[in-house]
Amino acid sequence: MNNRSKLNPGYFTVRQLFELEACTRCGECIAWCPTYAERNAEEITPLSKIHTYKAFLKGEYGGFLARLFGFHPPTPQEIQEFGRGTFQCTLCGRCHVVCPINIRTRDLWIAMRQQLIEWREYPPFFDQLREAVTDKHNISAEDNRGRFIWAENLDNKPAAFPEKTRAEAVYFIGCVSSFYPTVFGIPQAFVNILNHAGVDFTAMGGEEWCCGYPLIIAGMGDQIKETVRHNVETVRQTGASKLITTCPSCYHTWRHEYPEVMGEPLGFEIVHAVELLDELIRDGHITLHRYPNAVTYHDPCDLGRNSGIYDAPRRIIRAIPEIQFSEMKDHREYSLCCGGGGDAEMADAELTAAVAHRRLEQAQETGAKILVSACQQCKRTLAGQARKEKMRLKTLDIVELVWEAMQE
Amino acid sequence: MERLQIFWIIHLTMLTLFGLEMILVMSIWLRGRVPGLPLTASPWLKLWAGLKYLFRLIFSRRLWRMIVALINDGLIHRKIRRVSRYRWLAHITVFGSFVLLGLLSTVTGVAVEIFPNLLPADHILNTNVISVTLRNVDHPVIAFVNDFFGLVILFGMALIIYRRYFLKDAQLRTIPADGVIIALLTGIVLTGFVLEILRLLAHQPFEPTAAWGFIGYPLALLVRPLNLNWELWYNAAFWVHFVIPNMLLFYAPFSRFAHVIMSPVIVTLNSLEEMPA
Repeated sequence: MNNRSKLNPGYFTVRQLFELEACTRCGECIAWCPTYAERNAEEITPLSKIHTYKAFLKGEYGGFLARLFGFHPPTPQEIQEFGRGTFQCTLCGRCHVVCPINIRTRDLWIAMRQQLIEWREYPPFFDQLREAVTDKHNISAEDNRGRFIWAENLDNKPAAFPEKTRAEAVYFIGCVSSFYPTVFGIPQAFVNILNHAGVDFTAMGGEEWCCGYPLIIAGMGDQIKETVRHNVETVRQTGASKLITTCPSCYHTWRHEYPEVMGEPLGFEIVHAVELLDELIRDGHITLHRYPNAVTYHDPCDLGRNSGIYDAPRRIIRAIPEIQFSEMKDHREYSLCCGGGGDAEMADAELTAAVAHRRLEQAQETGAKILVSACQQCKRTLAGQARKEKMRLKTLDIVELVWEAMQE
Repeated sequence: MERLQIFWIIHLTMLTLFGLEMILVMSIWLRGRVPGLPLTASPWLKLWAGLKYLFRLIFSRRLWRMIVALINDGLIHRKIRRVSRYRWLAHITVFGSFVLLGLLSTVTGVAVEIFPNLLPADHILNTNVISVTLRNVDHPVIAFVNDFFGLVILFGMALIIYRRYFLKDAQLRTIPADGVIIALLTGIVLTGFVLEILRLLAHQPFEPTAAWGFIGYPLALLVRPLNLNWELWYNAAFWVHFVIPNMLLFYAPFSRFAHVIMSPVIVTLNSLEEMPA
């Protein structure tokens, strides 16, 4: 680390560097940080990350005046500590919501991660992740042709690439749903709903490449250009007018990152499953039957805080006859993260479990028997932890809930 | 050399240093990238892009929304009010009163130092009621406003000190630099009151309206029997009261106090972009 490259402010926009300076050190972010609540390590706090990086900048580029005020270039030990704190973050974005200055913290953390990647100060597993996504095109490093394995046992196996290459919509399934059996139920339920509602869709099968989100949030966003081009071109060839996804992270990436990487509009609409389901229910394409169960809803960070979708999932749940819906203590903008975001699990699996435990406790406090979410990663994390703790709490994705409610 | 000349020499030097420090900090920001410009773009090009963005914002239909965002989030701080009335009260009393007193000082400076030197004595800018009022520090309004808002600041500072050093709120991270800022801010107000007391004592007999300075006046009456060389003490207090804000000015760009300048800008821009269309 002694031979480290100089700090590169080019990972930040001018405005972001200005934002670092605008932080008032009020500490509101500390009170709301889900990972700091579990670890109590100072370097995790948003406040610490901002002020450490700011001090690095002044120490490196501030010259004599900065020295006069006590700033110095970062030492290897400081960089190591800073790296630990930066990667023990789920990128949930709650710090942005509570910040009195509205600092866009999540973008800052990603820029800091880019710097740490350059300094090679990151969790060792990230190298495998990079290889898996860029070479195998999925996060599991499995054969990408196996992306449709979840559909094997379906009565009506949906038509997909290479058999069906033209459709009105493309269902982008996402790596977690494709390769983790615990959440196979999500794409299974969703294709059943689509078929039932008469939506003309196809899926990309082995031609679906990981959207690149795990690399973007790891600070390796420069590696995804080829992936983005491949995915966009493949969808364009189908002639589809919309791309639907059940994964909020894929949704966020497609909607916000892809047009930027492509440098042009994609030419088709990006829709999350909850938006489509909301529309299908409203237009009467789906009939929901009585479902007398107590449920609560967990807002996925990438769907809620990072994409602004809060109402559609709630409208869907409330449309189900006889369902008893109650909110958790932290909900909507203030929702607590499941712990599974931001690649934090790869940096510290115990930390993820601790955050998930706290969220499950909040769900139990409502008296709900079913915890509903709209994200396969949230479901995987929360269901895994609930199982580990033998909690009497069922976890369902919202598409599974809707499919269950569609059964007479 | 006259006191006022020394005042301006030191003050302008400190302002220049402040400006240089701000330029240094800005030069660090300008190492960042600007969307739409190549990474290798010069700092001047980036600065120009930033100014263009601001001008486009100011001269657009979004101006009104920007003003609303500035008032709500940059000045009234509604987000702080939502999470804690205590914190909001502490912040708004200190911030709001300093802004008001700062504006009053600036306008007074123009009316007392600039207009009389540049314009004929019978010019409207010198003879209007506002200029005349501002020139008289013992005018009831001026005396009352200065004391009242000074007191409000002290109240706010007491709340801040209590929360940070006695209540020790878990989300606060207190570093020595916080103590420096708190001491400087409190020092400005306390020395302001001392200066007022000594000014009254140095310029006896008291003006009948001086009693509107409801803190300085009674305290001046209280210490008058000491019968010291008030002119000398007044002079000393003047320089102490002058030096503290200049120290703050010098320290600001490299301290948390920088947020006073940066935060309203960032919160206005970010809130504006998050407003529903």
